[in-house]
Amino acid sequence: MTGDPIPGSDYVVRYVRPGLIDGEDVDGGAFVLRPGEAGLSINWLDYYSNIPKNQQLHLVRLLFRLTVARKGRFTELNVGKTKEHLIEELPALSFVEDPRCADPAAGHDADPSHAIIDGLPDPDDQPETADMIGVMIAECVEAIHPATE
Amino acid sequence: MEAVAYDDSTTDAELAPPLAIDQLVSAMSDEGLVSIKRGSLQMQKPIYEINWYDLDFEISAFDVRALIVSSEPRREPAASAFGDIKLIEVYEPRRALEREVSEKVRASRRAVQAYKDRIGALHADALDNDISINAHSESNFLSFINSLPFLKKGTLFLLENGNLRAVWKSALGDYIGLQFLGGQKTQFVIFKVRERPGKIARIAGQDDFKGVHTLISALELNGLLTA
Repeated sequence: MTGDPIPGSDYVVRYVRPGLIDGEDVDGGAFVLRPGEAGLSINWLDYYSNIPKNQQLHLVRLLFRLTVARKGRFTELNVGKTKEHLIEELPALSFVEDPRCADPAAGHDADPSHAIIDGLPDPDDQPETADMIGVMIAECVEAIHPATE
Repeated sequence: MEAVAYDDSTTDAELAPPLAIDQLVSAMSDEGLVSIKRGSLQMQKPIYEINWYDLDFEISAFDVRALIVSSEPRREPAASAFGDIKLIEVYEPRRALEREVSEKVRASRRAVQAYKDRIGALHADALDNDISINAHSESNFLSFINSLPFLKKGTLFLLENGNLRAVWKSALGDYIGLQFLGGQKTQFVIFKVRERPGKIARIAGQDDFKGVHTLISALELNGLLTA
């Protein structure tokens, strides 16, 4: 349900465009809010429970609404480890459910695994802090997956 | 002059010099690479005193399994003919420095070219994502890397706001991230791993190039940027 916290043992993925990935390195800029964004868009892999990770990723890709680049990537984070890594700098950081309803007019199916990272600093008000927090989240990336199959 | 010897088998009980070093020194002497001025016993170990060009040095045959003169880079090392012998490398300091600097210059040029290639890829990414690259950020980045004497290649990213961000980091966790804002200004994120395990200093802010260089030097992180 919208706003419910995602368990710390679970995993999420965030789409990252090619310009924010260099080799195996993901830049912290991938985890900084854009102007007007309240939370960072992610997908909760373990929403699709009891199936292998490649099938979880397949379902995320299937329902993903943005156009992804061939060289784009889904970056994978563990919720609990990421929160623990930022516990001193950003204790309010949270990962919460944000399922999306179907939008037939736009040609979108429902995306029940959609979620957000909440509590991130506003880059307009605190640009340096937003950068630093982004870098610290990027340090928690555990795996990188192709955006397309 | 620097000499590095490896010996994992010789004991004081072995009084005769290894055959290999005799053969090698003899071969080098024949080729005019070295002249043997004398052989002597010191602490029951034969010493070869070798004159090589204008350099004098001594080698204990008991500490040596081979000799490779490495300040003549075009000459193939002679040791391969002598089986499983270990080696001594002798560096002529002026030439060693010359070679070291040349290698650093070549690596720096390769890094600059790699960055230019990366910027080309980032322009393509900008087009795909309706991002307008900040030309001042790009020129500031190039100006910054050109100001570094022996540049090390890091990574380079295009941010949503059109600025470039360069990152250098170590395996230990040291980290320098510089977002080029234009006007010789950077927004930096710097992590410095402290000696105490698990302790990391994290600093973020904005400053001009000079200020950032001063900060990086104060944190002893120059080694991330330059060789």
